Amino acid sequence: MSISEAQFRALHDAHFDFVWRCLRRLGVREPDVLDLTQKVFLTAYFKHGEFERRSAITTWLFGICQRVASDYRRSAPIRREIATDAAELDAYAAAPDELAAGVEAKQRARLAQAILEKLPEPQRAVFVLFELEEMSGEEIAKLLDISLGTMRSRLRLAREAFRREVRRLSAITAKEAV
Amino acid sequence: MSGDPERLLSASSDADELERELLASVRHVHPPRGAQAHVWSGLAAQLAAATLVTAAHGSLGVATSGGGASAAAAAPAAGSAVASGAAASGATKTGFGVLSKALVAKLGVAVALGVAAAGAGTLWVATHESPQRLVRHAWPAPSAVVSGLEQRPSVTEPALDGAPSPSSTKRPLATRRAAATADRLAAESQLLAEARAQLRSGDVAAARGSLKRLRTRFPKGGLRQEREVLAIEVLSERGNTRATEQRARAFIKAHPESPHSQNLRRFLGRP
Repeated sequence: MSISEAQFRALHDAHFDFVWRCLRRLGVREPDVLDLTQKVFLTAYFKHGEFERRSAITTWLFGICQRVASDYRRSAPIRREIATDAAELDAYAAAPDELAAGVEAKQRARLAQAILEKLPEPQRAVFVLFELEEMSGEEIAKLLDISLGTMRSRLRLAREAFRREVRRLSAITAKEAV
Repeated sequence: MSGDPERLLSASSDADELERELLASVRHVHPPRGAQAHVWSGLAAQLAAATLVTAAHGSLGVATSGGGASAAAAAPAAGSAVASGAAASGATKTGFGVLSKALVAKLGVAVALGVAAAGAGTLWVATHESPQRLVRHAWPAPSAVVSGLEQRPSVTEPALDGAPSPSSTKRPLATRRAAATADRLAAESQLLAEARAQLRSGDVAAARGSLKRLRTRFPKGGLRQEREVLAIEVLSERGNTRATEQRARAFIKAHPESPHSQNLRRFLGRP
């Protein structure tokens, strides 16, 4: 089943922000998000025939985002850029002043993003969808094709990891402030 | 909702202040202004370019089977000149996304198989093998969506072949130009993708080489903005902070509305 230009345009316009946000939150670096957003929509265009209307279109698009983001993360050059200890310290290096000074939202977002990127992929997806996209547990379980129990356990683990990282960040901040 | 824990950002959760602050900061992330139009124009141009490239290579022999009846029935002369001219300018102006060769080929084949033929066809492209047969194409690369990009007066690229081959003389000039432009765009796009991949894999020297080739081969290419952005990233990667900042600043000044400018702001002086 093909999709007409008008339909595809409507799909693109309605879900552009969602796709962009998902990719960003799934760990795609900002300079690469637009390229990958385009890739997601191209995939959606060519695979539209496979879309089963039993699920919401966002569910289907999120699945594509996950695959695209996961390919992206698997590529060696990217791995280099993800939270090695040095990169992490780098990301945190600016933290003390910024946090103390009341902080630019942008810098905070960068820190938060760095922490999100540290979460293992399956946990991050659940965490992002629940805490940020505010989907229900059931919706997420359906979306990711996992049981509600698995969803909750991933969420618990992700929260623990998130807290741990935030505490580490606070510790570094406190140490620098002395 | 039943049984879900409190969200960390909800007022009654046990999250501490820093956790809330950090989470809230990424709760409302938005694409930069103009990004949507930019991506759409890239999509439209890529699909149009893929069709033209495929047509130019003569692999559309079977494509008329889908929308063929109406395509063959239509009178091509005036329409094809106008429509392919529009596609050509769309492609030069909007070539944003960079697709791999494989993907371009895939797009070409899929479009050739009539996947896109359902929409309102506005572009008619003749193939090499059977110039009198026309292929209906649903992607007019609408100029209305070309908003986020550099809008220089559209340069009409001269046809590359000064002395047309006997078969190509049968095709309207505008169609040949469109195909040539799409070819050039595809080649430029591919070289840019190589440079980007090289940079991402840490091979900065190779990326510099590719960028140099891009400058030489496509001094007025449709992807100049993307080339410059990549050049700035290369400078940054080499630790040349001053030049990085200078060129990022110049780019932002020249293209304040470009989505690239949003990204480049990260290179501007940090205290």
